[in-house]
Order: sequence, then C-alpha cells, then structure tokens
Amino acid sequence: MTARYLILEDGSVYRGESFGAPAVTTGELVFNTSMTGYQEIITDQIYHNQIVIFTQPNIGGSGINQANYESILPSIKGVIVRELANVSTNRIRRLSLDQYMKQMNIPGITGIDTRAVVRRLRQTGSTLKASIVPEPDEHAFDQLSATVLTNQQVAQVATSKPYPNPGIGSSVVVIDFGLKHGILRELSKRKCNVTVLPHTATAEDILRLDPDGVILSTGPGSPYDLGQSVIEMIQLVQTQIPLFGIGLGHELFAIANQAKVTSLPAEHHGMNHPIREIVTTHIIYASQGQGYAVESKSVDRSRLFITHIDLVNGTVQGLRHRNFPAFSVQFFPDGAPGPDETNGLFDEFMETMHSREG
Amino acid sequence: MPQNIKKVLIIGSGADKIGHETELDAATYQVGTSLQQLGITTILIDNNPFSFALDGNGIDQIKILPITLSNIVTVINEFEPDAILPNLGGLDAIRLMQELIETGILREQNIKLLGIPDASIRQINNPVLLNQTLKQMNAPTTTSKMVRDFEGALTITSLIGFPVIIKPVAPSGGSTRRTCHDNDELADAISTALGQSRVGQAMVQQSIAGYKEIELVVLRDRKGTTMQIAAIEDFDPIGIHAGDSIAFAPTQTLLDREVQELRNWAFAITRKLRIVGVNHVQFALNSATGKFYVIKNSPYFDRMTAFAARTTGYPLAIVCANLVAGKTLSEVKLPASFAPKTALIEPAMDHIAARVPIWPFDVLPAAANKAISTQMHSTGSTIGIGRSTEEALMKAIRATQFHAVNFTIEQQRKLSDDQMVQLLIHPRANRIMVLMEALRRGYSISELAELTKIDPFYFHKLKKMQQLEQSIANQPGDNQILRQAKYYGFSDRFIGQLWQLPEKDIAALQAQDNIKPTYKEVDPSAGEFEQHSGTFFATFEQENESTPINQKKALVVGSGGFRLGNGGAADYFTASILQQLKSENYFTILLNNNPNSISMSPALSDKQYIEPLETPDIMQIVALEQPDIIYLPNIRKRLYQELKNLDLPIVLLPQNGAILSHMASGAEFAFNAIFDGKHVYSLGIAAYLIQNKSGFGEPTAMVYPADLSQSEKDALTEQGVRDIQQQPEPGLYQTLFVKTDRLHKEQTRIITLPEISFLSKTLGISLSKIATSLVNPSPDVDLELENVVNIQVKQSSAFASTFPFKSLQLYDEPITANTMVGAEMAFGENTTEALQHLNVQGKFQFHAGSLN
Repeated sequence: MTARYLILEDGSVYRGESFGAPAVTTGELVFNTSMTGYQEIITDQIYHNQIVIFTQPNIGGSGINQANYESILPSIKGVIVRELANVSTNRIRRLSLDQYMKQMNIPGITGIDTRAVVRRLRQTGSTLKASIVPEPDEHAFDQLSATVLTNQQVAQVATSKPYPNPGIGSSVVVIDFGLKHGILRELSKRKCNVTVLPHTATAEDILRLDPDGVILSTGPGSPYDLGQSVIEMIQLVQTQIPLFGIGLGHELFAIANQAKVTSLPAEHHGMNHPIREIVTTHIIYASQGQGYAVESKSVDRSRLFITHIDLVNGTVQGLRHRNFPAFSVQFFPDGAPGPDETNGLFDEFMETMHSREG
Repeated sequence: MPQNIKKVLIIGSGADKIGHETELDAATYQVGTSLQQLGITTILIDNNPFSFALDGNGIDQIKILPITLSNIVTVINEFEPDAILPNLGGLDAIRLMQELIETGILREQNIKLLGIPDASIRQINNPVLLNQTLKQMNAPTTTSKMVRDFEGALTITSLIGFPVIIKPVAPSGGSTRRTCHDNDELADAISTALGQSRVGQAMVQQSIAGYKEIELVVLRDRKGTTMQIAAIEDFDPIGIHAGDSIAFAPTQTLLDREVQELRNWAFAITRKLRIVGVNHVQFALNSATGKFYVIKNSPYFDRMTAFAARTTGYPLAIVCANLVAGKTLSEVKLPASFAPKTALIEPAMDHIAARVPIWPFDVLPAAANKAISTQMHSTGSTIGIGRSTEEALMKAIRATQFHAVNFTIEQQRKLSDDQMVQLLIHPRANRIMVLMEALRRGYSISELAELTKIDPFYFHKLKKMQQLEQSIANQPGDNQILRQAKYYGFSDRFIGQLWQLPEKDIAALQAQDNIKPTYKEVDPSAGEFEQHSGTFFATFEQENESTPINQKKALVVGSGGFRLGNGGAADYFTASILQQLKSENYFTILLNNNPNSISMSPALSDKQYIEPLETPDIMQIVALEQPDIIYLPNIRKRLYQELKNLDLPIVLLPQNGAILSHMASGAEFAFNAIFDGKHVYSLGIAAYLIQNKSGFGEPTAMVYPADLSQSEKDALTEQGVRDIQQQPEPGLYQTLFVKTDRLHKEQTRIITLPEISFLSKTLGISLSKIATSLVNPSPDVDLELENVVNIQVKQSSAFASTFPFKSLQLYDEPITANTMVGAEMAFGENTTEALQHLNVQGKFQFHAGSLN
C-alpha cells in the first residue's frame, strides 16, 4: 500500500495508507461514532461533499453485500479508517470494502490516528474542509483552500426523473432529495405503491398522482440551498395529503411552517444519543446524521409542536403539525444502519393514511 | 423515588471459584458505595476472606456467614432490611432467592426484591419455564421435541435441519447422547435412545454447536427505558464455554442488521422479565443462514458485565445501583468526569478490546491436557485494548503469558501434523497458539474456518500477524518493520526472540528511532465529548493523551489475571494499598489488565493503565509518569532489578505463602505481629490445620486464636517478638513454630497474602493498609498501632481454602497454597464452633493435628 495523507484546512496533516480509489478528493470532514453499519453509512447520500471518519477502528470486517446499500451510486467524498479489514467473510458478502470503493471511485485512507483527528475536530468546534492527497505539500493545501464545494447537492444526488416502485397497498409519493434506500425498504415492507418524484416536483405534480401520503426524503446539505419552490410545494401538499418528513425532509417541513433551521457548530453522526418522545416520555435511540437543526425557539407553537428532543444536545428531533396530518423527524427511523426503535413511525404514517382513506 | 428503600441486604458471592472470581466482589464494592451515596444503609452477607467489600468498603453492616437460606433469614431478622439485592451473588444467589420467596418471609415482612421480580427469579432458575416465556414472545429459541419413532424424528429433523442431538427420555440405566449429521446416523441413534428409554421416547434436539456466540449487556430502569451497553463477540464457537472463549468488544464480524436484531430481542426479553438494572443475554448465530437463537439470560453481574464496563468506560455499577434503588435512567447523574451527565448515552467504542482466558496449567499441568468444552475450566482472564483487532488480541495474549509453557512457539513447533489436526478439531486451552502454528504450516483460511468453526475474519487477522512475524524474522533490525510490529502489539521480547537479541536491545532500538507508545483514553463517547475516564491504553499512533500530573505519585502494579494461589488475596491487597495511598494524598496510578479485579474499580485509583504487565510496557509507563514510589508484586524479580537499576523507589508486596522446608513434623503455629522498625505489636497466634508433606506454614486452613496453654502462648510470643525485632525492615511478620514433644521455632517470614486478608477480617483492622504505611511511612499518618495491640478478640475464627479440582475434573492433586482458588471463613465462640460454622456444608476435611 502506498502512503496517503489527510490534510485539514487548519494545516494539520495525518499520514496513513491508501485504499479504495487512488483519487484526490476534498470535502467537509465529519466523524461517525456508529460501531456497525459502515456500508449503509458510506452509501448514504447525506455524505455528498463529505469525507467520513469512522471512530470504530475495525472497518470492513463484514465486506460489502447486496442487501445493505442505501444508494446505487454513493456520493461520499472519502473514507478515513484506523484499521481496514480488507476481508469479506459474511455469508451475504459480494465484495470487500476496498474493491467496492475502487469500483465506485471513492478514495480511502487506513492507518490514520482517527481519534486524534476526531479530537482535533472537537477542539475546533466547527466543520473543517479536508483533502485526501498523495503528498501533503503546499500545492495540496492551496488546492484545499481554493476548493469551493457545491451547494447544489440535492440536484447532484437525487433522481431527475420519476420512477415507480409498485405495490398493492397505499399509494405513497416519495420526494427524493437524495433518499436513502431504507425509506423505500420500509414502504415495501408495508406493501406501498410508491412513486419517487424528483425534488423539483410541484404540488400539482404530486396531487395529480392522487397519493394517500407523501414522504419528504433525507438528503445532503442545507435546506436553504433548495429554494422557495420546494417550500411552497410542502405548504400546499400538507394541507391536503398526509405528510412525513425525514432528515432534510424534516428541515424543509419546519421551514415551510415558519421555523428556522441553523447549522450546528459540529455535525452529529451516530446512533447512541437518547431521544425523548415527548408525549409518551419514552427514550428511544436512532441513527442520526445532521449538520443542521431546527431552532427550538423559532417553532411557532400555534402551527407545530415538538415531538422529539435529543437529550444530549437539546436539538429538535421531531415536529408535528397542529392542523394537518403532517409530521417529521430529524433522525432516520428506517434503521439502516441503527436501532429499529423508531421504526413504528412508518406504521404511524400508514395509519394516518388509512384514517384519511376511511 | 417511589420505593422508599432505607436498608438493603446484599447477597454476597462466597469463595472465588471457577465460574466467578473477583468481579462480583468488585461490583459489590461499587454498587454498595453508590447505594450509600443515595442514603441507603447496606448490609452484606458473605464469607469470602478475600472480599474487599466485606472489609466495610461500600458496606455499613457486615455479616460473615456462609451464604445459606437459614443464614439469610437470620440476617433478615437481625437487621430488618426493607429490600434484598440478589444480582451481586451470581446464579447461586438467584437460586437462594427462590427458596427465600418460598419461605414467605419476604411477603410477611414486606421485603422487596430489587432488580429481578419474583416471577422472573423462577424463570431464571428454570430453563423450561423461561423457554415457555420466550416461545410465547416468539423469540427465537432452539427446538427440541420428544419422539416415539424414527418417522417422528425425521419429521422434526426436516424442520430444524441437521445436525441434531438425540438422547433417551427417562433412561433406565445408560444414556447415550449423540450428535447426528444424516439419516443413517439418526436411525441408529434413535433406535439406541428408544431402547434406553423407560417410556419409549427419545429427545430430538437442535444442535447449535459451531454457531457464533454473541453476548449483549443491557440496562433497564423501572419505567422500561432500556439501553445497550455492549455487544460482545466470542471468537470460539458454541461448544466451548463462553468463559473459556476469547471475546471481542465491539462485535467484529456482524452486520448492523444482525446486531440490531439481537438488540431488539435482548431489549424485549429484558422488558418481558421486568429486569431492573443489568441483564446479559447470550445468542447463538448461525453464520450460514443468519438465523439466531436466544441461549441464555443472566440478569446479574458477571464476567461479561465487568468486561463491558471496563472496556467501554461506562460506569455500569454506579448506574445499576441507582436503577435498583428506584431511579430512572433519565434521573441518574453520572460522576463529574463525564461531560454529558446523562446516563442515557449508549457507549460508543473507538478502540477494540480482547478478552483472553487464563487456564491454570502453570500450577496444574494436568489441566493443560484437558480439551476445552462446554464446561468452564479457566480461572480468570485478561484484557488487551488496542486500536486494531490484531493489537487488542496480541496485548491480551501477552497479558496472560507470565508462566505458561504451553503458550510458547517452540512448544507448538514440536507438534506432529496428526497432533495438529487433533488439536484443531478438539481444542485445548492454548488453541490460539495452535491456530497460529497451523497458519505457519500453510493451512488455508477456509480449511481452518471449516475445521474450527471460527469466523474466517479472525484467520485473516491471524494470518496478517503471522505474515508480520515472518517479515520481522526476515528483516532483523529494520526500523520500519519494528514500527509496524509495535503498531500491531508485538512485544519487545517476541521481536527480540525473532531477531536473536535481548529484549533490552529492542527497547533501545525503539528509543533510537523515536518509536514510542501513545496512550489513548478509554472514552465511552468515542471522542465526541471532552471527558476523562482516567483509564488509558497504549498504542503506537500520532497523538498521546496521557500527561503526567505534577503531584506526589504512586504507581501500583497489579497482579494481572486471576490465577490459582494468589488470585483473590493479591487483588484484595492491591485494592487496599490503593485506598491507603489515596488517603495519604498520593495520586495513584494502577497498572493492571484483569477486567474482573477489584483493584480496577474506577474509584480506587486516580489513573489506570490497562496494559500487559511485561517489563518493557511497565518501563514505558514509568518513564512517562515518573512516579515517586512503585509497588510491585513480589514475584516480579526482573522488573524489580530493572527498576532498581534506574534507582527508583520500590516496594515489594508480600508473597503468596512460600512453603518452607520442614525442620520437625507436628502441629504448626504462627505468631503474627506488626513491626514498625522499633516495636513489635502482637497480633496473636494462629494454628494451621493442614500439614503439607513438602513444607510447613501453608495458609490453606487455619484457626485463630490457636488453642494453646497460656504458658505455650507466652513462650511463642516471647520468641516471636525477639525474632521479629531483628528484622531489617518494618512490616507484617510471622514466626512459625512446630509442636512435637515441645515447641520448635522454625523461621520468621512476612505474613502471607491469604493470612493478611483473614487476620484483617478476624481482628477488624486493615493489615494491608498498615503494611502499606509501614514500608513508606508518611508523617501525616498515625497508624495508632497501640490500639491494635489492645484488640480483645472475643471470638474464634476459622479459614479454609477451596480448590478447583472438581470443576477441572482432576483427582489426586495436591492441596497446597498454590492450587487454592478461593477461601471461606467463619466465626464461633471457640475453635470447634468456628470450624462447625465454617464447615456448614461438610465440604472441608481437616487434619486434627493442630486442634488439641
């Protein structure tokens, strides 16, 4: 293996060894503390523009398999690990992580002091840009600071054309902002007749399909990069059809109802924070991946109420509309990867649709 | 808190044995302390002389009695507790709780059972009942069915698949248990089993041998909030007892989906049984199909809860104490060192921990020849923490290695190919070394995975280690290779062997090339928060997180994994030293690697290093920390020499009762005393009950005080005082005597570790603390030794060691201080009564020599 460097815009340099594609890459550096599910994380489109550091050192131990993709063409910029297990021994393996990343043109570095990088990020307290480069020279740092990351992230990862995922149950429209497959998987489990529409779909496009419910999917980047048309679409659709927003979809739903979304000083990616479901006071765990959060005090209590709160950082994790059958969560209830404890939200969405049909 | 608990009776765990060592006492100390902090009075019943809790650590009221139903009732009547906590006494305590429930006393006196509801106690004690519950929940359990003929067996086998286990139902006389892999074997086994059965029935049981074993540790509060603390993967497949298996945290080969499914079931079962506090659920996973089965549920502290707590840094015992006291997880506030105070953040690990069992072959060579199986044979374990699977495993193996001849490479090289195949299929205790040797001999990964049922992932890792070993051997002196070897956890000694250089030279080479360990903190948030557990491990990376503090510092080197002989007593002593040093305002640093040890309880020291106890590893820590004083176990001769060369102040801990050769044969006595350098303070005379042919002064069984006439006592005391007065150093001493027609003085020695524990509990003083202060007197500490002399012993006490022979299926092994696994003690009005109380279950046999 050849030497490869992770360089940060604050000037720090970490040496490791190359795996995956031999490409040079630049992105925002974020860390994920999940101990399982590297395949799901690497293929989640929320990591468009981002280089992910896994805090769990042993990555690659169960290979890559056909059942756990969260997208067809992952858009993650790079993967940083302490110890690549370049083996693939799980019964449903297809590829090793290294092979997969080569195929998908994703560069990686193994042998990095990942804990040192994470501590650095924590001390900095803000998101840093970073590059994976063959030499940590002046040129590389110049390139790094010159790189401007796109803010047209959703357009780059979401579908541009509608497509169906037919089923025999309720008709659901999923608006794709860079959706993770987990959402479609959960709808398939519930036999839904799904149509995925591009993020540019208008309320008219949606209503024409006469769906029983609409899901605003997960996706990368800032909700404010999407423009007013999406907000208007949500404002109209929520008055007529049951609506469920997830991740970026949740942030858009909040904005459509006059709440403010702000970027977190440090992104949070993991599955170990306790989340309180306010009505029941139950504590639940779910996969989280967020660089933005709904500002709690901006929530207009006459329109929305807060349903879920992260007990560690106090962020709003769920909202529900007072007048319409519309709700949203910041975390990922499809549990791919992560705990299944919030999976019932999909059932709740089904019930909302049924009660409306009935 | 709705339950207004004021007084809790904790059921202790008794003598250490194969199956549990000091982890239960360590948990008792921690849970007891937390309960006290909640304003609850704690009472402990136990009879383990090596118990740290039984010295009053975390405990308000101590009752030294054998843990039997009638004694528990006695204690209840004496102290009138309003609750009983049974989850610190292992499965034995759970069994006793069922008997206690059946007496009706709990209902009559309105005593609450904490942690496990009555109905669940019954289920934990009765696998059939528990299985029914699991079936009702649709939890995946293994299938077994009674059949009357071959057709019936075929039907059930077609459902569950081969292999199946066949055995007779209600056998008359002989009973054959067979594993069948095809119809022919099945036909044969069924006809045998039906022939053996009195009722013409055979049991067809699904076999899970060879499946992967996964263990989850979870916490639940009384309101039903449940969280996962750790998921642990066993390296060895089912068929080998989990306690004898190498284990890793977190899981190394599982998909997220698999872990989540296990989590869902672990949570569901814990909720169904309404467990409050800790629960440990074991699963079997069939890697070929992805199907898994619930195989065991243990809602009490055990080796895996200890492993989970030590390796994640999560304060499991503290939180658990709060939960059983009635708090919810949301209400529990973590100690000051944690950044977010909520107990609800599930631990995330950014390191890997390996647990490797220790087998007692150093003192019982016969045990080394035993196949490892579904019965546990190991006495303890060590952990290795690193930043790769390889490094963690390497460090854990190094941590166990101390004496074991069977772990050497030379030993493995001698194996014939036939022996090798036999050992692969019928593993022995040193299996990991055999696997490495098999890789050296060119066995392929798939072959080995097939033969051993161990996940190929691990063979990839072992192969990597073996290839690195080859590269080291091929490139002597190469600094890049040296750096890599250290990165993956290789010891200086091993590299030295491969390069035919002394260990010291390897350290010198590293210094030359600036190859230095970096210490990382065990942090349950994986770096997300700025918080400090105070527990560190070494790895060879970019950033070092351990900075020495500028304060009076003591480094205490622990005794490592639990071994026969010194295990419990040495750990008790280490824990006491730490406590004493802390009270003398030392910043205490502990170096140890036994996840179960009391000394590793986080509150006992200011800083802990989880590292192998090999000389170079210790020297690195000494170089970083620059301690003012170092405490070493007596057996660490080489380390002692190295430190001496550096002119560092060292204190050696007492030995483990070395046998001295006989001068005369007869009843043996010891006059015990404290010597402060000037005065000798008498601690009285004890009598040994078991005379060993090979020597005297074996602390395997004894009574205190000895039944001697006043004139004999005076004579012994006089001579003892005179002898001890001449010792060059202050300390705890004993002068040994043999009584034939008269009393012969034999020799004076430092009081042995088992006797220090026993005498401390007998006299109600902490001799280990006194010993600590004597060797390193602090002007701030007044030992008040005058008070010690004035102790009036009103009772007699008796001590007897317990031995592991039955668990190990060994016979005719010597009863010596080196082969003891644990001990029990008891009090009485006189010697006879103390012995009666001790021997309540009739398990001890004493020589009467010293009793008259």
